Amino acid sequence: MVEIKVVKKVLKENELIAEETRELLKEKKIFMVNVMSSPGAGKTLLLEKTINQLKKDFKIGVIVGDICTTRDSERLSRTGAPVVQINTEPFGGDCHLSANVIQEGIRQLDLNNINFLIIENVGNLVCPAEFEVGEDKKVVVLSLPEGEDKPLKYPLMFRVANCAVINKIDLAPYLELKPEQFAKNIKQINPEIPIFQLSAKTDDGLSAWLDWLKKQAKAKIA
Amino acid sequence: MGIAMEVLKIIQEHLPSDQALKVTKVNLKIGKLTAIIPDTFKFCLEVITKDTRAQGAEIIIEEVPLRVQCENCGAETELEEPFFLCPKCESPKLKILSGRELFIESIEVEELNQEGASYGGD
Repeated sequence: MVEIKVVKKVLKENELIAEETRELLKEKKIFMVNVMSSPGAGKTLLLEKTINQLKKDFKIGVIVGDICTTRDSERLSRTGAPVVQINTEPFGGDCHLSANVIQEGIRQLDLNNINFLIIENVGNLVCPAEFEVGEDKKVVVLSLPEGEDKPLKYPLMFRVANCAVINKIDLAPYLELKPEQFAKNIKQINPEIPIFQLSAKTDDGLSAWLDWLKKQAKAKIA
Repeated sequence: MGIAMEVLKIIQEHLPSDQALKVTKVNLKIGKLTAIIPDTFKFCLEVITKDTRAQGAEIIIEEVPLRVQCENCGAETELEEPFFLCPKCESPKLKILSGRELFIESIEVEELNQEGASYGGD
């Protein structure tokens, strides 16, 4: 029996590609935000509203990841923003978007006409947390019906995120759940993270989230 | 699963292609604050190494504890749970010292006795 020393970071290759993307976006002065959540947390509606509100201030482009179907990209296209749909099924049905897939998606966009790039990642709180894609900010969206224990169950996602959105607060009266408990659990994992409680459906709380996002983008683009 | 595929790719890159070898053991080092659940990950690896030279290899996972250093009081502690407040001074300013590892340390290989010997379990 022979032992072969490897000592290699498993995600090294992914990190190198993410770094290439980061360099490219820096040169082109494009802000990139990676939006992650479980399936059904309301990412697409939140992004539809976000794009509609921000499109007068920024030139927005979107990369949407799903295992299959193009439903989300069809919805997001109606905002008028260019949308690249990535189905991971041909790549083996991956449950996340890796850096090479994002790099490929970016190639399909006209980067001279974009300064704000949104990634809607595949719905999953596990793997996307591990894959850097070259983004400036990571946002995690959690919705009330998922239960307040999710941050404690998926700590890595809430630790790596730069911002957390608690969505569907309009459902609070019907669920015996308090958005404050969600926020408290998130703060245990990541005490300094900004948290926005909102309803993408009713627009309640949306403006604070938009202000935060605008500020992050302007800091990069200016 | 994507991570398991990366592991297999790295294993294959490190195997000399001209020899009849089979991988008997894969030694991994995985931090506690990663997206890896050891049992699930082992299962993923078993599935994707099927019909490769790493089929049936024993997967050894060394878990690395989550250790942090407080940027306020300097205390170094191991966190049993991912609650990021310094146990000494309750500051939230913690630097992660270990727990994010995701490494392949080494692989162990064995020569196949005969040409064309089948890939098999242990």
